[in-house]
Amino acid sequence: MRKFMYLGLLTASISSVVIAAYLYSMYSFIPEGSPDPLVSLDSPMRKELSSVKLIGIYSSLSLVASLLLWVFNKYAGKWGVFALNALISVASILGFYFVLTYLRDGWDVFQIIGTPLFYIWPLIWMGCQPLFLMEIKSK
Amino acid sequence: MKKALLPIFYFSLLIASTSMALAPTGDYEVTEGHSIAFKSADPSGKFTDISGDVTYASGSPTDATFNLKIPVNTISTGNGMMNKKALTKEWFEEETYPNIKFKSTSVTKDENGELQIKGDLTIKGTSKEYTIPAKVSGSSSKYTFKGTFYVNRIDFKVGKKSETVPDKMKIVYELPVSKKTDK
Repeated sequence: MRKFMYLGLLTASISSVVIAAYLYSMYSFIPEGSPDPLVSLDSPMRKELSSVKLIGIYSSLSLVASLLLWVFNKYAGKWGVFALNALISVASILGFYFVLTYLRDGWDVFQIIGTPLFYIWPLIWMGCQPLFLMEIKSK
Repeated sequence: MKKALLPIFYFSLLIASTSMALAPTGDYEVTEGHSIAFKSADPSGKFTDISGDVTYASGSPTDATFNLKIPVNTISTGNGMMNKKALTKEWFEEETYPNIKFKSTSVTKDENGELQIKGDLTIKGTSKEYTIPAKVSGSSSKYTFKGTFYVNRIDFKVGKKSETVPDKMKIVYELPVSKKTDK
């Protein structure tokens, strides 16, 4: 159980740093005070898609996923781990379609910056797993 | 005891991060129940109308924005003659400047947990930077901001220096806002 908790905490930490850096760079790239209301600081998308909210989402995902992984692993072994990761991968791929079809007033820039939001966390999640779940024997 | 630290930390973080993720964000508008009163030795009264938009998220209160408007012809001093006089050129000059406006530029949170809303207060065509304190209560669909601050009417050329009317007016306000619904 403990190693799953450590996996959740590590994924939460790394994904929080990455998403904060990603949003910072994207929002810096969009010039502040732009006359275009869609990309200005007052944009409804920027207010709702804040770093605080996304750090919260990524951290909760990491911690909940690690608990689920513990349950899946306990009852179905490596196939359980595979099933959970497959579910996450499918959700991530469907996220691309969600972004492409998401239409909302003031959220036009979402189609540019939204897609990576759906694969940053899964990549970090799966990247961290071998640290806790695999035992690779050294020569 | 040491063994319990990890689960405690883990579940505390889970609760904290979930509340960050679910914190309501969005746009609000001023609703019924608002009050904005000015108090001095003489005169005292209130404005009966205030409207505008507020964006606020309890998870990131310093990202809040306020854009408010008070029609000066809603002044009520309890004396009809005085109300009419307040709208004349010497005082609010309602014909040229029908509204008092406040647009926030930044919001900070002080050590007491109160918001300090810095912004441009425009009265009678003159804008000055003011910081308005606000205590916030409520949650999710409805919040109320309230506080007290002082405005120097001479800064805005509202009336002239006088022995009977003090320069500084105490403003006591209560601003309920509720979530905008898509129209």
